[in-house]
Amino acid sequence: MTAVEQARSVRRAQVAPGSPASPGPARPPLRVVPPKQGRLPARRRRARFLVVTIGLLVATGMFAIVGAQVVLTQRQLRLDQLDQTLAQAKTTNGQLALQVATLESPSRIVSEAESRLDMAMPPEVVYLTPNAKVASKVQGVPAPLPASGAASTSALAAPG
Amino acid sequence: MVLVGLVLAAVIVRLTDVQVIGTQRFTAYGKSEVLHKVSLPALRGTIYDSSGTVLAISEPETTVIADDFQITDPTGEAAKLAPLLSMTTSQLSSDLSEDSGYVQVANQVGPSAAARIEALDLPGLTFQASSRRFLPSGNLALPVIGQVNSAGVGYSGIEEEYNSALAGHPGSEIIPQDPSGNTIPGKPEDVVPVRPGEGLVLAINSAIQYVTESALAKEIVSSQAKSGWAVVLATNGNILAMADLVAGSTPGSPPVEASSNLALTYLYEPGSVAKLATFAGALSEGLITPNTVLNVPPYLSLGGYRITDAEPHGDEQLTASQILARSSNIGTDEIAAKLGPKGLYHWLVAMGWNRTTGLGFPGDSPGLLPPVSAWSGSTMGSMPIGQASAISSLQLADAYNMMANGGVFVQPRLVAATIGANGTRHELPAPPRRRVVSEEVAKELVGMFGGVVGPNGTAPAAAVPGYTVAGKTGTSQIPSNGGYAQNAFMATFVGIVPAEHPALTIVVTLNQPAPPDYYGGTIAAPVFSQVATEALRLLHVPPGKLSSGAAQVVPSTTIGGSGSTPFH
Repeated sequence: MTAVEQARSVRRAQVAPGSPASPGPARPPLRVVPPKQGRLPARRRRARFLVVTIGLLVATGMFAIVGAQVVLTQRQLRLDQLDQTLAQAKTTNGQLALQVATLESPSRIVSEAESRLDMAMPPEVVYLTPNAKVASKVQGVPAPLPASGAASTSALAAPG
Repeated sequence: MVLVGLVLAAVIVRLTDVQVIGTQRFTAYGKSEVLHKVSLPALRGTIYDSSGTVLAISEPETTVIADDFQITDPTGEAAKLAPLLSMTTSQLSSDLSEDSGYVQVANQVGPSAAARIEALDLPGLTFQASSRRFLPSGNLALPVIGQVNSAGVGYSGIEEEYNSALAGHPGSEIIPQDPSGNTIPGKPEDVVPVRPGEGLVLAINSAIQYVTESALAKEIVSSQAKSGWAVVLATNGNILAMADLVAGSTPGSPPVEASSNLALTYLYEPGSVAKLATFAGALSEGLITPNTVLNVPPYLSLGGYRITDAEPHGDEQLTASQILARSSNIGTDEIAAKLGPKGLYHWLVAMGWNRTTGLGFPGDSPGLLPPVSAWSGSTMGSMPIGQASAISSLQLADAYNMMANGGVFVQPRLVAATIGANGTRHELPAPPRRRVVSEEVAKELVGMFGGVVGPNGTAPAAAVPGYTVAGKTGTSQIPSNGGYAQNAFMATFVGIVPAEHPALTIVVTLNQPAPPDYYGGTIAAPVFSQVATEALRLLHVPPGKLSSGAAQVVPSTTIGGSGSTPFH
């Protein structure tokens, strides 16, 4: 039995069979129902929830934006510092390159060699031209294999 | 009530204008108060020699500018600045009290000093970035490298020729700044990135350049020449050295670098060194062989002029090789007559003596070679022996380098490569080549010019111990007032070494050495010998005349010797 059918049976039981006919059951007097304390209508609750949520989201978003700006600024500061460091390093590198180039100047090398190291241009140049036998050993050219064809290291191992 | 309404309406209108209609305008105005465009200077590219040695380099510098209206304590500020700028406090205090609003306190302030001044955070000071060009090797090869003006623009030499590549492109950006000029952290807007200047790698070898300048300087002093120049040219067209010096202000004082690249820009009648064109033409056209015998009379009369040789002689029977070795003007004119005017002109043009060298260097001239139609009756007597036309020493070296390259003309070059902003090296294409004479003729010419340096030639002083040399002397008069100046000569020697496997072509020219010793064979040839000896050693070119298995001692042609550098 469903709840509706149960309600109908209860109503039939309240109206006994054979009783004098009556216009119907007496309607209870109407009264003002006081509003329930602490409870808002669902629609208003939803509206309030929405407002609070949006407010929180906006506040959070604002803080997030501020936070992001702070992070961005910090990163930018760091970037600026790195750029300055890079520029400084490039400047230092250029200054060092200039120093090296100055030290490598032919006129400075000649001057230093002559004045500080007491060097002088040689009065003569000696050219040494080794003969073919020596040259082959010095330059590591393999000696011809013996007639037997067996590998031999004696020629290469011999003092040159 | 009406008045209040009107005021309210006016406020509303103004608010609407500010907040709605004029938003962009007022935003732009606000930004203009905060955002400032900052120029980012591009550092000029570095110039290197062929071995990577820096020849010219730019360093950032700062110009310190003061707005003295903002300076309340000039003396105190001057006291802080003076030690950093190496200036006196009184001078600085005076500068900072000019009441002009703009005072250039100091320029060319180095990076470290500029940073320390900025750290002082003094009121009224601003800093302008600039740069300065340095030449670490002093004035070495200065006429070739050239110079840069105070605005950072090259105005001579390589600096001028390659100015656009060297200068790069400055950048800019818009950054937020507070009213005091301090940068507010923030992302720059409208950033135009800086493109630093490209570097250049020259074909010049600084060691050979130094050797060349040293030897030339010594000879200018000893010969009392007014100036001198020399070119060391590799057979592949690379200019390894190009020296241009002028005599010092007082006799015997060290020569100084010329203001221009004389080897490339100074046109002169080269004299007998130009006989190459006549002999190359006659050999190529089969008119002579090295052994062709000609009768050489005591003189020739052409167009009313008498052509003679340096040494008086009677009728002689000389081979073509002997004519060249003795530098006989008469014999050369006889050979040129076989070519005829048009033929001679053709071969003068073939030597490249009517066109620029192709370097693109400022002042590079095509020379002065008059067309045949402008020749007079005596031109066939003067043109074959290097008069009546004018060329530069580099044009001369190019023609002899053709002979060294087996008859192939190779365009010279000063710049071998560029260095990009990221450090990448970009090789420039090899210089163009063109065949002028056959390989056989080139070999014959080298053999004939070898006699010039022999004991019976005009330039035994050009000999290089351990190596064979082929070359030619030239001693020419200097045109003046429609004729030739008295006792004013140009002394030239141009040679190829080693003759059997040429590696170098070297030309040496001395302008007006003091008589009586003004000959190319005695003034220029020794310089050639010294330069060639050192250059061959530096380039590790092995000597070719040494006997195997024995030590050979050859005298060293010392350059500079003891003492300080012979020039500044």
